[in-house]
Amino acid sequence: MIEGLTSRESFLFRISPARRLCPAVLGGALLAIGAAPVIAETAGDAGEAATPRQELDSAWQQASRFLFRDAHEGFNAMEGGDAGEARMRRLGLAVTTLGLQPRTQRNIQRAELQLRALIDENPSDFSGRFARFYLARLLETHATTPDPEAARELYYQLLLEQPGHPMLELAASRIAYNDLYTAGADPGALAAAELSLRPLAELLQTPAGRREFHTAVAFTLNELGGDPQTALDHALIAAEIPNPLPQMQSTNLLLAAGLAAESGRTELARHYYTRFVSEFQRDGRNYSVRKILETMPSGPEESTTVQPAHGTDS
Amino acid sequence: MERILNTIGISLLALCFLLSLGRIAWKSAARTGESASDRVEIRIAHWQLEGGIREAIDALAEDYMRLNPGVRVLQIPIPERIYKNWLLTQLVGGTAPDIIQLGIGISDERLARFFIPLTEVADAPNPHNTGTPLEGVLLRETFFDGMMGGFNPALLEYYGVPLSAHTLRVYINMDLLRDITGSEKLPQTYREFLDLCNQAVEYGRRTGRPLIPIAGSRYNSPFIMNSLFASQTQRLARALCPPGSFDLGAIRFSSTYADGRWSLDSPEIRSGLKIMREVGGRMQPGFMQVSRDDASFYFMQGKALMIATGSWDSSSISQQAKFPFRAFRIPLPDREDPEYGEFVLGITSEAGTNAGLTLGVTSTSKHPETAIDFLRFLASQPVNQKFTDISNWLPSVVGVNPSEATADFMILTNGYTSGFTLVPSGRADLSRLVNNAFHRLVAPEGGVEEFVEIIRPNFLRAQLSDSERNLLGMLSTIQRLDVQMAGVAGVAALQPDDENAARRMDMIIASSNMQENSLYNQRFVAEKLRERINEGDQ
Repeated sequence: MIEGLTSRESFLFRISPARRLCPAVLGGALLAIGAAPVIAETAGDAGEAATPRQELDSAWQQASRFLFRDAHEGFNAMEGGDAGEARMRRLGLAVTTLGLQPRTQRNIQRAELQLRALIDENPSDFSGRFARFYLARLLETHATTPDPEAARELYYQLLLEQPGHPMLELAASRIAYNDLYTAGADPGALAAAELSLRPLAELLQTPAGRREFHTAVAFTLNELGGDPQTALDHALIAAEIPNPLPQMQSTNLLLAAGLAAESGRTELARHYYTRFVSEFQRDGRNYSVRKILETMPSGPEESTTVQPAHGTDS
Repeated sequence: MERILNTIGISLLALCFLLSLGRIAWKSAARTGESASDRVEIRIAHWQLEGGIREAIDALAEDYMRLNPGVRVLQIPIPERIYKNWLLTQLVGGTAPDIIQLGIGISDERLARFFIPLTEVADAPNPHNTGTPLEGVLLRETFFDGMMGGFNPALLEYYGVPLSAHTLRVYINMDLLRDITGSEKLPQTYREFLDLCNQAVEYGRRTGRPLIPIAGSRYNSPFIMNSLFASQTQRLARALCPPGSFDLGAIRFSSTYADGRWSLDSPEIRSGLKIMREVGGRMQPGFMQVSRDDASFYFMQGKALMIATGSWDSSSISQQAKFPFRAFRIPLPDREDPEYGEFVLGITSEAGTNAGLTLGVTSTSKHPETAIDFLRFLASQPVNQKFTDISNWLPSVVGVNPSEATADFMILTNGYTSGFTLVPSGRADLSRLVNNAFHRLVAPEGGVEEFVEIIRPNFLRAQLSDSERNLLGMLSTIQRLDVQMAGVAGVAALQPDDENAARRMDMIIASSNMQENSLYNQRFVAEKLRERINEGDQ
């Protein structure tokens, strides 16, 4: 052994440079053999690059399935595309930032800045309109210190200026909840709040927007003990626009029936109870409703054609 | 010497590496060979270790393999206790079986990430129903619950195909029943049930072999106790609900309590507590400390005459019990009951029951088409009939006849909506408050009054803390829903002609509005509860 060296060092010192290279060459060769299939597979997988529109679609799909981080990274990695696609990508980035975990004040502020920038550039295209809606949502439910008044103003402006998309027309329901629950169980304040909401119905252009607005008002009035006749006007409109969720469609029919009975409109109540019994035969409430129908007194004949409340549902 | 050792070391390393490489190459070649010969393996994992289920799935898999010689179906039963951890490892490692039972350990996000949506499958007829009365009927319409057991309301898609359903029943040892009463007549009313319990105690005394009328445990007892309590609040619940509503729910429970429309002194509540004490006294002492298994042992060993549990235990009991048994609905007081009839509307409906044993297809499946086809096969009318006949579990498909053993468990649709219990679903603090004091309600030296006085000081506070926790949960749900909603809108904007995208958008709009409604209502009710507490109420 050479003095001052460990046995391994003295071994390496003794062997020739060419021999010293042997392990490295062997290791390299093994790595190359091992990596070859992976490289080949990766190359095979590469295929054709996705278009910006396909990438956008993929990221939105991920967001629609709660895969917010994947969606966010997808939006982040996107390049190219036309101006509209670029704005949609920025909208996606802003909205998915709100879904990132852990939720941080910084992320919320970042999303707010991105949404405001989109609105400043163009408040009227798809991305601009959604940015307005999501800025309102951010202020109402995502911000650490919510600002419901500012959110209400944004919702209202959106409805005034850019209605016509069923999702954005949810703004009307949000205003309804805010105003009715602020009024609370005080009958006078509740009636006044409902009255002030009526013009909103005139702004709504989509069946889903109308359905959800009238559902919101009818449910809230019923829950807070508001005037049953007024609640019925809204419930009738909601019940006549098909709801894609069976539990909501059935509940809307029963709400219309229950409020009609409460308002003394027996035949109208019978109409909706009967519809419920026939359309929701597997529902756990079916038997109870049948029993109500059996004991229901007959009332004066009445048309069951729904009149649009306050002339809104033309 | 050292040089030789190093050379040997490097050689061994190289050898191991080459061996590993060779093995991978061999397995790949084997897989290629398999696909070349169209041999497909479908693995199906579930946690239903109850007797009969594995046998049923094996038999159906055999049938499927006979029809499809190129397919091999392999069943992987996993104990419920480790199912969640096992599943996570499999999903994250990318080695998950093709078909997995949904439920334990599957959050919405995991469902979205690791499973294939089956909405298109649900919206098409089941080809395996050809030649049956369900030929041409959409798959989702072939289930008694409209396939709601496989629908995920958060993701707004179908993700699973349900095979069975469950109901709650009281199981009874027929040998003991005959010995005690001299007949096989099952109790039809609450009074007959109570009388039978008393006869069982007397029989035990007479024979010197103590007999527990009802085997209780912290798992089994609530089934019977909650049903009895809810029978006493049936009329009250209807009176407390606003027009058109039949379900009090947790938020209205607190809202109406805060409004003073009912209290712990309401006659309905007192009556509900009294009936729970009455039946609790027919269970073994200390039953709330006893586990599910221990209660089952009491019944299986003939030390208890009855036990309340779900139809899922039927096949296990039939395999393990050495006596014949039957099952009957938990006998609630009827309107004619002299003591408890006043507050009752009538028997409760089971019509809202959703189908279960729901199977989904993983996105890592190498043969998703075959996996989906196998699920369709399982969900066809004749195959679901065979599943029911072998497993003795309830069917999920319409038109399937129950086996003789499942007749006692069939879902009864003619019945009223239920009343409410003292602890609405998902109320943890209220549950802790009530459960901690529960032994005082049923103890011989305790009673209704003592129980009420224990829970009263914190009854309102527990509701408030539960409401506040619920609010946070709701807010978090809505925040997630907001982002999801943007995703749905984005997809719909890019695919304006896609019907499914449009349908999902309509659904999420309705769903979002419903959630917002609950959030505002819960916030309002929490404020009411806070005001009541500030006023010094309990």
